[in-house]
Amino acid sequence: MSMNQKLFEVIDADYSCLGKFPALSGVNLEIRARERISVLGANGSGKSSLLHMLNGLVFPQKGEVRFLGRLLSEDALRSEEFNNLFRRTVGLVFQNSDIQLFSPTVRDEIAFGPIQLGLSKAEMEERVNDLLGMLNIQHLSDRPPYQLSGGEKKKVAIASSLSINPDVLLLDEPTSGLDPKTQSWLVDLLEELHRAGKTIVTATHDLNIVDRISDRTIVLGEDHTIAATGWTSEILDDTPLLLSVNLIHEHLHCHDGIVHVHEHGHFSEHDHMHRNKGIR
Amino acid sequence: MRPRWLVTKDVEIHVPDYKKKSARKGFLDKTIGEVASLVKNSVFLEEYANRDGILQSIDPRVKVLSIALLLICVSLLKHPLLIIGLYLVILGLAMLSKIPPKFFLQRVWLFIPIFSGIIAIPALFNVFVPGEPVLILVKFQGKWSIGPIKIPEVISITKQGSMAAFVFVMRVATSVSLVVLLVLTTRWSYLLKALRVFCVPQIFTFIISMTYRYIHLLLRLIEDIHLAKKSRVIRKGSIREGQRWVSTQMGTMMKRSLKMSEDVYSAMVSRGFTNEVRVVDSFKIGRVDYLWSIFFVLFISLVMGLNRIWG
Repeated sequence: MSMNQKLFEVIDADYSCLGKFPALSGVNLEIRARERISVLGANGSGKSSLLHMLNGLVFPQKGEVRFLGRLLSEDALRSEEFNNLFRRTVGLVFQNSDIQLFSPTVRDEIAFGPIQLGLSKAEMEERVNDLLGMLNIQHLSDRPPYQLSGGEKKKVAIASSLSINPDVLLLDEPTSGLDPKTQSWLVDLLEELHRAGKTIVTATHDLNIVDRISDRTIVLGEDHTIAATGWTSEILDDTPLLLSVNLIHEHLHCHDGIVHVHEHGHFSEHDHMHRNKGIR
Repeated sequence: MRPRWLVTKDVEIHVPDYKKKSARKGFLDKTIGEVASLVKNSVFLEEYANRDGILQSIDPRVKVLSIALLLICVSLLKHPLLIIGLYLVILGLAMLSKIPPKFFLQRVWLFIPIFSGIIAIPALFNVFVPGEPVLILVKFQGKWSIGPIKIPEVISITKQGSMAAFVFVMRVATSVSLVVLLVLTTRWSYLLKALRVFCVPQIFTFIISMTYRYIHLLLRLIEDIHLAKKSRVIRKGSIREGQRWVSTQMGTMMKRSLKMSEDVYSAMVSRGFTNEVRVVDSFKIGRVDYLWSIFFVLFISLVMGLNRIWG
């Protein structure tokens, strides 16, 4: 996939769950090949819906989604050829690993995608073994996924999406519920995958990892519209924006005998600004 | 703004005296706990399937096929000694597969009296199976009948009847032992895949394996919901309240499982599932399987030969 090729184009898309609970409204965006994008937003802002829409699992009631210039719709995905191309190219790691892991063993789980896409048995086995090795989970290969810990489940879920070798990897809240070590392992992995030429779109509200996993950020507001798009560094510095979409909050507290207000969110406590210095 | 009552505590905590009472579990605790532990222990544990015994080392397809042939063989055997012999061989196999004999016997014999014992009882009496009396129970004066059944003058337990009942019960016990042995020594996922040797459609085994996987998740969810409720309940509720809670929870679980099935389906679609099940199994027939098959064919031939001679 050539650099800068337009992968996804979302044009004025509205989507509501069950037709009555709005999840996305008037969304316009573009995703190009080899980009690293974060989708930021508070709980319930529509991040998951957006990823599901990009993965062709739900479709906008108004507006459209285009993939490589072609309309991504239920009808389009009925074509075996297009479906195969699309599923081979785009992989999604679900927020809830228990939903994603439905096979009887870890090995079956990782093999599921390659088998569905018609890879040969030898190729499938090679991929499964390589991924088990890469993620250091060989010892889990014959275990049923429901017996695993949260971190192990997440690794298997990632392996099961990577086994398709997608060019575009969509990740829904990948660090939620992971311990700090596994979180940092995941961030390293995403950096490595990006260096290998993959497009990575991560939905998250974990502001600590955003600057490491993305160059560009899309911010969803609580009204389900896009509040801003821009370079990640600029977005993270835009405190009024982050406050307005409820990703950070103003916090009144006291230390060193000084009562002051500052924003809580991504920076560590040592770096924060004392705006109302001296109020006692 | 936080309500005042939430952030002030003006009552001191006073621990009342309490006498130690024998804690009795409510019906909810008992039912949920027992169901969850039964399913977990009997289905999910796979403790014996992971041991390195003789049956565990055989390819699941070969094993399923062998057990199926043995089941047919058991139903064809006529001589009680042959059935007993076969049963002893199965016990031996269970021990070679590192299944504790007590556990194995309990699994089989706990249910036999309930299911087949009751069916076999009438066969003991000369009313149904005429023959030489062994034990006379009642003597009537004159013959009479209830509808089409003629009641003889003497009601007794017959030799032929006892033998028929014995053979029947042993046949059931041997067959049940075979199936229990298969299930205990084979991992559930392998067992389902192995069913494909009998041309069981893939969609069928696939759905069962997914059902099995999500039963586990839903069971855990039910346990968690119950614990969450328990942690918030202050006074002891009545049975009626408990029943009402169960019925609403059943509805909620139904909705949740429906939502979950939709989500799981989209997770499958996301990875290329197109309503056509494709499964690859990685079974390999090895030397042990060939050896087993040779012995097995010889054994079956011997048993069937003896059955012919003695029968």
